[in-house]
This record gives sequence, structure tokens and C-alpha cells, in this order.
Amino acid sequence: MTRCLQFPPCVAMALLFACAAGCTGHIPGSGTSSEHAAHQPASATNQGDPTQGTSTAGVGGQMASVANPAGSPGIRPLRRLNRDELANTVSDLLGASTPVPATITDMLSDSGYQQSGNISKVEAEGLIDWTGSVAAVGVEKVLPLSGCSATGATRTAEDACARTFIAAFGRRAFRRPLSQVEQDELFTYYADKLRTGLAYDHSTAIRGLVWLMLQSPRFLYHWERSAEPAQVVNGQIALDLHEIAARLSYLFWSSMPDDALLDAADAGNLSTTQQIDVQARRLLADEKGARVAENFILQWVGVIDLSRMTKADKYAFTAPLGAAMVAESKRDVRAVFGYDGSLNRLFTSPVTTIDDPNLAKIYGYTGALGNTPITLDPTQRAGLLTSAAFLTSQTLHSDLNPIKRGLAVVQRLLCRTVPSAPANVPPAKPADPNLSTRKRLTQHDQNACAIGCHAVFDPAGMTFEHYDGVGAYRTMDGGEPVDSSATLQLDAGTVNVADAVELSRVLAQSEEVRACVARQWLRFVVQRPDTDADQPSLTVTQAITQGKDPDLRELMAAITTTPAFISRSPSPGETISAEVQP
Amino acid sequence: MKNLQTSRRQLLAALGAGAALLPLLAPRRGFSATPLFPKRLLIVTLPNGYHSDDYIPTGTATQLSDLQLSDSLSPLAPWKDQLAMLAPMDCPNINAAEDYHRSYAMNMSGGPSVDKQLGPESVWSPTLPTLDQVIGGKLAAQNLGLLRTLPLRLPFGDVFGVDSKREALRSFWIGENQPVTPEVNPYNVISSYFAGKAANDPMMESVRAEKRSMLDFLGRDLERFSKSLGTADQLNVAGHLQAIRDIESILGQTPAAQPLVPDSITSTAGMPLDFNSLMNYPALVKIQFDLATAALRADLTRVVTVQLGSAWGDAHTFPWLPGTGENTWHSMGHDDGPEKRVLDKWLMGQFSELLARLAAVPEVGPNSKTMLDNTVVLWATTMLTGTHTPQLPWMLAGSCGGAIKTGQYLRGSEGIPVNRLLIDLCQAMEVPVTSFGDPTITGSVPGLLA
Repeated sequence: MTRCLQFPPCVAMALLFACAAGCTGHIPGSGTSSEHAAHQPASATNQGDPTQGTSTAGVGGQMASVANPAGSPGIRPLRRLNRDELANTVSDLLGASTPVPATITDMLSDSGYQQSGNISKVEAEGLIDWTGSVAAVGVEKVLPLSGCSATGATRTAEDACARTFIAAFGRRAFRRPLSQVEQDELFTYYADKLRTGLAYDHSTAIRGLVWLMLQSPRFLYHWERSAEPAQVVNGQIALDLHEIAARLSYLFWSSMPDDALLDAADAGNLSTTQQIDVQARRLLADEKGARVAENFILQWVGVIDLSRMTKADKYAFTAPLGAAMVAESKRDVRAVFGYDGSLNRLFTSPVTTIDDPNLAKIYGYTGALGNTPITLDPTQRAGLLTSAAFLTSQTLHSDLNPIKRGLAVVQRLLCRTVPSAPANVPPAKPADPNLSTRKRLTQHDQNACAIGCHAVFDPAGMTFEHYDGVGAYRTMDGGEPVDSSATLQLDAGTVNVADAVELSRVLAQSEEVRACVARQWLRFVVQRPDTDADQPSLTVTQAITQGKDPDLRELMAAITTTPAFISRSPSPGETISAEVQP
Repeated sequence: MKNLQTSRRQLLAALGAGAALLPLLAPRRGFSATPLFPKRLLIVTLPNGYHSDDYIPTGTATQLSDLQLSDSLSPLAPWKDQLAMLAPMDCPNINAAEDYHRSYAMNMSGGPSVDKQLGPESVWSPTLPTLDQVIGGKLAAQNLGLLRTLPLRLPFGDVFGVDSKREALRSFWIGENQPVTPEVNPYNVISSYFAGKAANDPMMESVRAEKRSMLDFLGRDLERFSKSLGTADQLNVAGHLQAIRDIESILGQTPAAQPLVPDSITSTAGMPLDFNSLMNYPALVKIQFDLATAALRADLTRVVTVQLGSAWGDAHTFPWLPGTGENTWHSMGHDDGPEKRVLDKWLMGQFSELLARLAAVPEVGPNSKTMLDNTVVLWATTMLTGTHTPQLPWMLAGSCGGAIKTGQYLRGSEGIPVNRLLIDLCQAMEVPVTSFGDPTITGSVPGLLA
């Protein structure tokens, strides 16, 4: 990875270990794992089972060298492509920019990250219409895959072209080579369109085929393997090389694999951890690689889509302002990842770019707008937790903001769990212009049933009291000077902080946060809550973040060679071929 | 309701370019041949309960006519004879108070949930189908062409937060991992659910023919795809497959004789409402209730659901309703103050207007004068009060063809498992079951069924 050479000296030492490991494809603690084959080379058509013929050098053996051999990679739940993935994929596949309809929704996953919803009737109808438009718009771009000239071909020649198209387009749309049976069925569908009452011509029938294929479960779901029962070795299923290719591209690009990645999978060149690592770093270094940084970091800290947020009238909050806030934070994340990927920098840097006049007002910034980096008052702003996007995302209409902001710190940055709210919660103290938020909440805290919960997250939340409901800095609240001091109980001990700037500094240096970001990254990648069985993978990711200011790019790359990424446990009820005991 | 012929042009304008495909709206089956009207179920779900002093009527009688409703509930006073108010029931499969912000589906399925065990980040999923699916599924199986359900919702002001948890967004589930997405867009409802066959339009027919062939292929493809998956994923795909089958069923419908469209839709002609905007909430409630009524009247389906809010209501404000300030539904629930009463009273006004719509459709038969008599409306909130008081104060309206004894406050339902009401509603809809969601719970709500 060429970036390894570009780190500034101040962080180079700290990153040396992780960087060296990353550059060579070794996983910390894994010994010479890259010499072991993660998979045996698959045939070009990928019809064989990827683990067949492997012995201890297969996934099971390789696991043993990574970490706890008893560890399980965890199941891989079936997920539909989410909204971003659908949009990016049809853009890359067909050059179509038709917006994904609003009926296709994403939700908050079990692990707290954006996740695609299911497909019930509303979504299925939305998909029918949308894919119909996408196929109509995009068919011209993909028609050359058939190898046919536009006019004058005989029916026989057209049929041959259609078969060529099905194999070529199918491999890209389904992200793996199609079996002969699949190709035949699709050809029959194509041929029916020419020969039934519809009497379509060749290109119209191809358009119909594209429409159909875009609704196939093989396009819509992350499941790039044949229908053959998976083979289980040592309780684990090795992902097919095409599954790994797609997993890499959707993780880093939120889109389909490019030709290089598909070719690598076809040729069996994703069989070793080193080969996977090379591809992971290629994707991360690509311009599209910034997508994963924005997606993960902002979702991790709790920045939400502010274009749909409503705020009290006094804030004059609008959807464009909300969008400007999120865009600013995205640029900040992109800048850090383009420089050194430092966790510390994300949470302490007062440098940003402001291109929106209303956002400038919130920051009290009066200089020129644009993309030139500017430094905000470092006594007021320090990284993501003091950004307008975070501060606005984690608010309540009632302006009892310490609750949500504190919860975000405790749950998201410290990875702690908070007990559920009890039954019969007493009514909250009503809002009062002459009462500070701190006092309102302090009175709440006197209540016995609130102590158990609010004592856990309110202190961290209080440190943000210098920021109002849209993140503007304030010195007065409820007629008195703001008190943003708090005493926090961290694993390392009790810490007193004066405000959110100091909190950010403490968190950025905290081993608890470093361990947490590695866990959160795992949750983001596997799209499910982590379990004890994920410890082997967690050991790998936490080794990157432990004891130093981590380069989060290294964290991102490192996970791609862990058990959680390249293998999975059988799902309950899944039909598998007989378990192989090596 | 007005004849579509007079307003079709405006409607098309309102629906925009995509409406060129809009088929006629019409009752699918005529009722004139038989005086026996179908029984219908209309379920309305909403979060955050009532103000703490307001649900239980004042007095000791059982007949509602002898009881005093609170000011919040006063809009229902004209309907006392048609109401069956239940003393707050229990939902034995929900055990922690916060679950009442996740419990729509568990209340409606009567069964346990799958808890992902992550504390507040956990996600709850029911393990069994909800009431609408059990009844709607059975009726659709018995009546060719009948849609299982029409699921509708209002905008929630949902942003990407706790309100985005799927158990908060989805009241109704086919089963584990198969939430039913309700339709927020009334224009979609018209073009989809009311889609009869567009007459004499060869272009339209070719699109439909291609769709039919595509759906047929997809259905088989999904079945095969599902086979290699684990159980939870199979359920997920089963929901997808069901959706494809539902759409096939709609495509197969025959044209209608008497096109009808709700006035509330045509009145927005030329300027479609932003159906995601909370500012349009009152107009959209009217439209969705109109569509619910129209669908039941046309016998497209016998089960309609309308979800008025996410189970949290954390981002749901009522800026157009004086007296609610800028509070969210959730915060008004916790505050339990005058704002909540203002909101509750407005909602009861909507309930009252819904009943008026149903009662405006004449259906004179052995047990009925209007469609309301052949319907049972279940008005279901997730908790007794917004401060997480864990009981279910549900109301019924309409006698469901004489199956339900209305006009009473059922004190006998206090603390009994909600499962017994679910059993009774199946009974009333002539989908007999001996238990619902929990085989250990049997029996009826005392005094509810006629």
C-alpha cells in the first residue's frame, strides 16, 4: 500500500506495526497465515465447491493460525442491497441514475447500523417499477455485451447473441458466473418474449431480460453462491471467492465488484489472505473507497440523515441546512482518511470546511465559504463530537439533549449497554425558560427509578451543554452560565472534564474507545451484533487499535482477512452437505 | 365518494405522469345479488396511550350510555351504542416496560418475541403472524381474488434513529422476519390496490402480460433460491415471495363496473399532497381512512390496517394542532400534561369521523343497516399511558354483523391476556381458532361476543 510511505513522521512510528502487517498481508498474531491458502483455487466457472480438495490448509486450518480454533465466524444473515448499494450498483452496471424509490427503505440494524429492510408488497412494487425504468434507460449501454450488431441479424444469430449476453451480463449482475441451468432458463424467458403474443424484437426482449434479472434474488440479495448446499469444514463454511469479491466491493464501495475483482475471483486469485488484502487495499485507495469511511464513521458516532429532521421553530432549521451539516462532516471524515486515518484527529481536529451560509452562522464563522480548510475556535470545536451534524442528530425536541448525546457517547463510543427504561416512568419536568437543562435533568435524576439509567449517560451528555439544539455555541442556558463540567467513570478510572472539547480529547486517547471502534467496525461489517464467537476476528481488529492512536484505514483493511469476513457459520436450518472432519 | 368519471382527469393530474397507467377504481364484486354482506376488520394502531386520567369512563355501570367519557374521549360520545371499550388488558408475552415501544407486533400476534439481546439496541421480532394476517390470509384463501389485507400508514416524521427500528415501524407481520410494509402513499394505493383491468388499452395489456410472465418466473426463482438458505432467511424470502404472489393476484383482477374514488383524493387534484410531510397529517388521515373505507366497500379485501404512528413517536410532532406546542408524541406521553389531552381528543375526533364514514355506507341486511354494522374496528394503542404504563386499553367499534355486543365498557377484560380478544375477533370474523399466539391461553373476553 503506497499510503504507508506517506504518513507524517508524528504518526509513522505508532503505525509502523499495523502498516507493516497490512503491507505484507500478515495479520498481527497470525504468524505466516498468508502462506496458507484461504481457499483452494476455484475453477473459472466456479461450479465446484471451494473447499473441496483442501485439507488443513483450507479455511479451518487457516483459522487455527489466526486465533482461537474453537471460534466461529458467526452466521451471515441474508440481506438485500440497501438503498445506496442499489443506486451505486445500477449506476456501475447500467449507467442508470434513476433514483431509488422512497418505498425501498433502510432501517437501523440489530447492531445499530444502516441496513436494508425486507421486501414486502410495497417494496416489491417499487422494485418492479424502478427496475423497469432502469432497464429501459440502461439496456443500450449493456446491449453490446451480446456481441450482436444492431440490425439485420437472423433469428439464429440473435439467439446466439442472447446467450452471450446472458452469460456476460449475468456474471456482472449476479456477481458470479451463471450455471448452465440458470443460463438456459433465462434464455427460455428471452425466447418466449419473441415468440409469444408480445412478439418483442431482440433488443426489447433483452430489455425484458434485464428487467427480470434486476429483480432476481441473485441480484437483490447479498448471496453470490450457487444453489448447491454449502460444505461445512470444522463447523465453518468458507465463502465462495465470488462472495468474497462482492463482500469486498460492497463493504468499501457500496457497489458491485469491478472487472478486476470479478476476474480475480474467476481466476482463483482471492484464495489467500494476501490476495484478499491486496484487493481490499486497492478498493480502499480508490476514490470510491471514501464511501466506507463516511458511512462507517458517521453511523458509528450517530450522525443521522438530517434532511428529514424537524426542529423547534426558534432554530430555523431546514432540510438544506441539515444536508449541509452532514456534508460538512463527510468532508471532515474524508479529509482525515485522505491524510492519516487517525482516530485522534477525527475527535480533536478543529479544522473543517464550510460552504453553507447558515451553517457558517451556527459556527459563528464569518470568513469566505468554500472548500478551503479553516480552523474553528479550538476552545469550542474539536472534531466530530462538536460538529453541527452530530450535535443536531443527537437531540430531543424537548431540548433535553444530554440524554441522547450522553447515550451516544456511552453506547456508541464506549460500547457499553444501558438498561431498558423502567415501567411507569414519572412525567418529565416541563420545559421552563428560567430553568437550565442541567437543572431539569438534575431534578429528574433525584427520582429513584431514574438513577439507574440517567446516572449512566447524563454526565457525558452534560459536557455538550455549550451547544444548543443545532450545535451553536452558547454561554447561557435558562438564565445562567452554562456548566458543562462532568465526572465520568471510564475503565481507566474517574475523569473530570470541563466540556465536550476536553471530553473529545479524553475519548480520543482512551483505550476503551479504541477497543470499541474495533468492535463497532466488526458489527458494521458483519451486519449483526457481535457475539462471543466473534472473538477471533475481534482479536485481529482490536490488535490494530490497541495501545496507540490507530490508523482506521488499517482497521478497515485488517478485517477482510478475519474469519468473520472470509467464512461463516451455517445458519440454523440451512441445508448443508455432510460435515467434513479434517 | 363521487363517480370517477367526473373527476378522473383531475385525479390523473394529481397523480402525475405515472398515472397514465391508472386503472379505474371500482367495487370488484357487486353486492346487489345478495343481501349478505361480508364481515370486515379494520385495525388502527397508535403509540403512547392516553392521558393517565382519561381512558377509563366515570361511573360503575357497564353500559356506556350510563357512563361518562372524559373530555379527551368525548368525540366518541355519539358512538357509545356502537362501541365496546375494554378495560386495560395484559399482554403476557411482553415483560419490560420499554417493550411497549416495540410491542405492536407482539400485541397483535399474542406470541413471544425474538429478542436479539442487545439491551436498548436490541431489535424485537414477533415469531408468529399478527391478527390481520391470520384473518386476512384465511379469508383470501376462501375467496378467490380477495386480497389478504390493505396495510396503510401515516407519515411518522421518522428520522434515522430509534424510530427506524423495524419493530417500531411495522405493526403487522406475516411471521418472524416478515414485516408487512404499510403504504404511506395514497396515490400508490389507488394505482396498485384498486387496479382493475384497464379496458381496451393494448399497450397496457402488453405491460401487464410481461409483468405476469416476469412475476411467474420470479416466484419460481424465489422458491428455488430459498431452498439453500437457513430458516430465518427462508422466512425473509417467504415474505418476498408472498409479495410477488399478492401482486400477481392484483394483476389477475377483473375490471369493475362502478368506479369510485374518495373525495379527499380528488380534492387534491392538480396538487398532490406531500404524503411524507407531517404538516399534511390531518389531510392524510382523512385520505387513508377514505381509502380504507373504499377498499372495504369495494370488497377488495376484508382486512384493512392503518398505522397512525411509529411505536416511539420520537420525531412525530403536530405543529398544525394548537395546544401541542412543538412536542413529540413521545414526549407528550411522558409529560402526561394538557398537550397530550389535546392530541388525544383530536385523535378521538378522527376515530369518530372514521366511524361516520363506515356508517355512511348503507348495507341493509339481517344484522345490519350500514357497513359499520358489518365491520369491527379495533383501535389499538401500545400502552395505557405514555409513561410506560404496561396495559392495553383497546376499543372496538361496530358489531361485526352482530357478533360483538357493543354499547358496553367491559370491566371483565381488566388484566386478562390480550390473546383472548384476538381469539374473539377471529370468532367474530368467522375464522374460528381455539387459541391465538399462545396455546396455553384459551377462552373469550367475558361478555364480548353476542
